[in-house]
Amino acid sequence: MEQSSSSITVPRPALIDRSLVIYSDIDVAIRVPRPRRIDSNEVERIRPKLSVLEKNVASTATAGAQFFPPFSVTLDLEQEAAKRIAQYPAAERRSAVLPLLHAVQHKFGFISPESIDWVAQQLGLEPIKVVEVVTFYPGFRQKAPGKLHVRVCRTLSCAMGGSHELMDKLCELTNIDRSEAHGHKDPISVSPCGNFSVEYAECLASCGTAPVCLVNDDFHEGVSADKAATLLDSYQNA
Amino acid sequence: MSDVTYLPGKEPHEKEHRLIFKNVDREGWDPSIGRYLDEGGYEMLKKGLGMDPKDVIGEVKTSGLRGRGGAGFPTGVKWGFIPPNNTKPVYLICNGDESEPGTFKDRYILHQDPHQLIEGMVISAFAVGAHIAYIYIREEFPEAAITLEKAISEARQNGFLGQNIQGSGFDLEIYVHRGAAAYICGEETGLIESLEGKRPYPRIKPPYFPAAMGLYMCPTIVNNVESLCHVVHILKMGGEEYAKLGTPRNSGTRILCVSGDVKEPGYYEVQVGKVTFRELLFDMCGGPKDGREFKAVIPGGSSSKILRCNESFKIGRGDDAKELEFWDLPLDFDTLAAAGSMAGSGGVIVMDDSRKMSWVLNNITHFYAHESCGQCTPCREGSTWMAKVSDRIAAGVATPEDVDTLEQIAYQIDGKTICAFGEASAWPVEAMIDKYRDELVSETSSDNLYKSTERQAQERFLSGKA
Repeated sequence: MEQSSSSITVPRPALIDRSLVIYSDIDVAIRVPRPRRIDSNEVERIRPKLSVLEKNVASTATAGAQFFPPFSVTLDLEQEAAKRIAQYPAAERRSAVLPLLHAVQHKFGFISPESIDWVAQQLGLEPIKVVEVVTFYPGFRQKAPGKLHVRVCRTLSCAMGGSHELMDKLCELTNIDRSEAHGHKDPISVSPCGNFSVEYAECLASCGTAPVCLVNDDFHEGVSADKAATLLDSYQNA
Repeated sequence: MSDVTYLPGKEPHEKEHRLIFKNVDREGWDPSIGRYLDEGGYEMLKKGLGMDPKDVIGEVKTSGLRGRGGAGFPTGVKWGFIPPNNTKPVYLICNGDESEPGTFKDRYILHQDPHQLIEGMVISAFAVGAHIAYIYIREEFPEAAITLEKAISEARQNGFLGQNIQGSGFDLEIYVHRGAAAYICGEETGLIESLEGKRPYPRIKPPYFPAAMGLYMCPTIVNNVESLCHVVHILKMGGEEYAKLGTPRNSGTRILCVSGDVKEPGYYEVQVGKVTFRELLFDMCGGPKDGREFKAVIPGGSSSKILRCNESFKIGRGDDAKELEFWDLPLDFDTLAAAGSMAGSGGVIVMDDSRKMSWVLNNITHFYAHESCGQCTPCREGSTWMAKVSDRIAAGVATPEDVDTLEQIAYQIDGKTICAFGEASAWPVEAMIDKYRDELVSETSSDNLYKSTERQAQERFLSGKA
């Protein structure tokens, strides 16, 4: 053990301009730290930290969760799963990952850690293979949206048609705070009451009737900011 | 044709030539099979299944049909790439992941005329010898997925799908596969990976040409929705007759999707190359909005290079070379390529003089930064850098050198990635800087010295205040 604690000395350059050296310890011996002995009592006290994987699997609680049932394997979910798996060759069950996740998200609002395990089990996959799909696609979410989830297109034609104004108006009407939203990491913002949530979508492919938005599964075209209130009202009455 | 009437306000312009969009926004039309059969639907399926598959491919080759998804590759040639000694199953995939900003043609086919697509798919599957076909449809079309599944079950009940179709001994099953809102799934190898249930990381070509090693490493043909619909009309008219539509090497019709700052945005189905920008934007789309002038046009989806409306281009070589004004450019594959852009997916985005190019650039770079799949470093990092630099330009806090930096980043992505996304994200930036450099530079100032957080930390350290 003593032999391993050698130190490496970097020869000091002859003429060195101190102002250029940012990491000033370049000429200091780099010591390889010896492993610290940990007694078993200490292990008990170290709090487990979330690994990267666990962070990605976890879902955040939102006010919208009250509108969706907790994940459970129901008969119709199993029937849907069987129907989708049958679409692909028997040796290629993995293809059904997307359809199964869609089925789960449609019924339970978002992809929970339990549902990831269930999908993995149905297809005979390691859960990580499902997690990588869930975290890649913007179409899958890991937190509950509002009862009405509005996706506003932000791409060029819609932006020219006024989708940013539409988004601002929607947030104003529903009390949504988008300041924490991040296009990549956390695109969905839920209102405090849980009734509404908004998200920017990339190109909903109806550029000729800009600005457009999707409310849950219903498509609406030509929704300028002044029509936002009417749009939300039409769902309130339904 | 004369008895076909359209919904008020949706009547086709006299310069249009409706083949694919004959039934779109039509009076009294619905996507049911009964309505499609009334119009002589599925007749071409019967004709096609009575032919030799090689003859079907031959007709499509004769027609000169070029893929309508973006690259403009001849469809018949693509079908011919399946290895002749193949023993594996062949798959046909319909690429319904219409995600190129500015394009919205497939939406109408999928929502309003699903049986035309199914008929085209059965003929195409028969030609290439596929017995399983998938329609990869984007997640943002939930209604279309339901419409299509209904149409597929109707077609099966009527004997146009399933075992022994119309007594020909040919079997085919079509399934709908929904994507999940990723632009990269429009790239054919990315789409295949996605269909296999993985992240849609595009595969490198060679060796992974889908026609040889595609879905489940079997020969796979991936065609755009519009291309597959054209197959029906090629059989109806005959390849030679179809090739007379449009111009040589650019045959048939195509759907131009016009959006942005015009009076009447929308879809216009025209013969390829028979319409110039002047006719399209002034006659068909009603010209610019009141009190405005056209400034720039993106001719084929957001990844094609932008064209200035006051430019002129030298088209053709040798004796055929001629100088054409922007307005006289016909919208076909070859002319637009010669003008330094591309016909792409037919999404024409128009900007008038009220638009700041820095704002447009910023919007586009954010799209590509969001949609890069992250597989290749130049694209993953570069697209994000471009978004950040363009943020500064748009916010008016950039220096003139930032424009050069942006250009350098773009040229370092272009051609250095596995799939064409690299070019798709770099081209709009390159072209916009090339054509609007003065405007972009005028929004910067050398007073705006930008310091990154890293540089600020370094400076603090060096000054001894860390």
